[in-house]
Amino acid sequence: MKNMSNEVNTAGQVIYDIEARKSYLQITDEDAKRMMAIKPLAEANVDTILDRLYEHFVSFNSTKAFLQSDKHITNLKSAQRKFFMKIMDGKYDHDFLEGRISVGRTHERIGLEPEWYIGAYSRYINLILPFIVEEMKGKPQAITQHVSSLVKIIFLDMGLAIDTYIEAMKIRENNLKQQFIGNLSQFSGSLSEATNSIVSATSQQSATASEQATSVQEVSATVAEVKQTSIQAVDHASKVISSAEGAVVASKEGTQAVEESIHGMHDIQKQVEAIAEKILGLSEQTQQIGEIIQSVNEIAEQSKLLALNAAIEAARAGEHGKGFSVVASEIRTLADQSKQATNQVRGILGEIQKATNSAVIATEEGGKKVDSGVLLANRAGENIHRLAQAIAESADSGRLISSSSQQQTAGVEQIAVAMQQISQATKDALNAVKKTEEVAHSLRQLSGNIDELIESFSTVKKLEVEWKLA
Amino acid sequence: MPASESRFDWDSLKNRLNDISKIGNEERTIEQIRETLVERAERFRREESTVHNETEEMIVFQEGDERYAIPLRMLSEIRPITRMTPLPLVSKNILGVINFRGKIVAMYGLSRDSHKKTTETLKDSHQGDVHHGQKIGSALIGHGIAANLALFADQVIGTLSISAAEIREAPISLGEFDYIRGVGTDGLIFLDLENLVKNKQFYMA
Repeated sequence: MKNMSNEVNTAGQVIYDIEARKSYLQITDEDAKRMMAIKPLAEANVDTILDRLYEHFVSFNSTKAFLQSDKHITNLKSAQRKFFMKIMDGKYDHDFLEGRISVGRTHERIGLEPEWYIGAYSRYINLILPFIVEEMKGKPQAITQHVSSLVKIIFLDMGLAIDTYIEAMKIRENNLKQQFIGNLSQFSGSLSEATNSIVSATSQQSATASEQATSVQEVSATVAEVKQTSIQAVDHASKVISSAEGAVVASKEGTQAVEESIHGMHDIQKQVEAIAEKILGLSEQTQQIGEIIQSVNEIAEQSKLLALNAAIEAARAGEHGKGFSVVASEIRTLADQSKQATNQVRGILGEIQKATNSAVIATEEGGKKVDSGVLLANRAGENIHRLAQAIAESADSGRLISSSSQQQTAGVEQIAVAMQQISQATKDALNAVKKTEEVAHSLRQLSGNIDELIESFSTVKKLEVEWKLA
Repeated sequence: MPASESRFDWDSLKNRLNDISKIGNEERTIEQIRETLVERAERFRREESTVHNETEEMIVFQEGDERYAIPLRMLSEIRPITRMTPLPLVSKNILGVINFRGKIVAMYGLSRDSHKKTTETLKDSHQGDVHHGQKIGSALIGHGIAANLALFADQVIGTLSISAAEIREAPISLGEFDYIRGVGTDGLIFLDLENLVKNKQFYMA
């Protein structure tokens, strides 16, 4: 059996063996001669045939779609004429083959499927047959021979056209497939690369998210501590304010007490001075008493002397003077007693004078002490005032601290809430990253699948044109 | 120190003031005055026999560091002296002379430093250190044969009734100093003014 395989050139095109085809279809030189014989007939009726053919094309939407305009139809008709007349040339050689291949490839390119041009061949046969039958009227053998030759040639032509179409289609499909494989391969590469990047990024994100979660926990713990500290600060500040307010009240009372004590001391000083004055007055009166005492003493002395002299006189009077002597003795005793009394009074006056001096000195000392006491009290008052100011300032500071701490607490609480939200977001992000990772792994799998697919596509089968007669 | 200890006891002070204010304002009843008089009479009551027979009235005075006693009967008068005229070239015992009721009387000092003391006092008096009329001492002016004599006394203490038995005899060793009658148990020196006047030793001392 003759080998029907066609060789394929470097462009993937099939090198057709025209002679083998002609042999298979049993096309002989006779057939060529018969075609040349009916060429004038065809020449004469080609316009009619073409008009009918295009009328037929136009009447079908599928074929009409290929016809863009009247001018286009005119051009197509011109081409069809050449094609049709070429069939009638009787030369079925390499040139003929080239022409057929060109037509087949054009059909494939413009998407004119075999369904339609097989129909066109059918129409050609049907349109030309009446002319042949008319031409060879009464010559049934010649009709049969010529129609047979025509059918053979038409089929040769048609087979070539179909094979060319299939070949072109295969080439195009192959090109598309190669292009698809290329694109797919590129896509797969990009996908793989992107997947790797995603996986890497998600790993990094995952690690970062974990770190972030840890950091968030640490920050949350710190925030809790800060909050506690802040609350304690508020507490301490409140205590400071409370004690400072108490101290301010106490210092005001202290200032008042100091003022009162200064007033009191001034009063004491006045009274002490008054006492000193009175004591001095008393002392002066005791001096007067002293003078009186002196007089009394002198009188007593004289009385005593008189009594003594009276006693002398009485003694000299002898018995008669005895009674007088007793009286004199009595008077002398009284004088002695007076003197003793005056001495006692003088002693007492001396004591009074000493006491007065002591009292005056003590008063003076007391006055000085009151002065220094007033000075000290004033100083104490100033100190208390200053202390009160300092305490008031510290109370203000405490209030500021309290206010700030409260704001801080509020801020810290907001931070804590935010941290919880961040923590939640981090968890969500971690989950999302895990999902992304899963997706990325799926993508990687997909990329692998695509690669396998490409691999399977890339095994280009040797393009063969199998001849199957339907 | 607890406040209670330093607290002044005003109540006590007021009580004392109250007591003081009563002094001198007490209304004395006749009964109270009578009681005082009876008390005084009791104090001066004497046994009649001792007054009459066995006792002798003495005057006691101080001169220098010593106390002396002279019988009242030997004196005519006691006078305070405010001035005295010292005499030159006389015994140290003679302090000077005074005018007693128009009569010049010699003043005798018993103490060893009487002369010096009175001289200095008089000098101060003349120089104005001592007020004019200020008492220098007392003059015990003698009686009888001692009428021209006066004893100087820093201070006249008083009188004393004493029995002869209470006077101890002067020791024999005093010899011619017979103007010393004896000494008392409390160191009081009993003088005999008449013997003093008679004793030449006294003038020559």
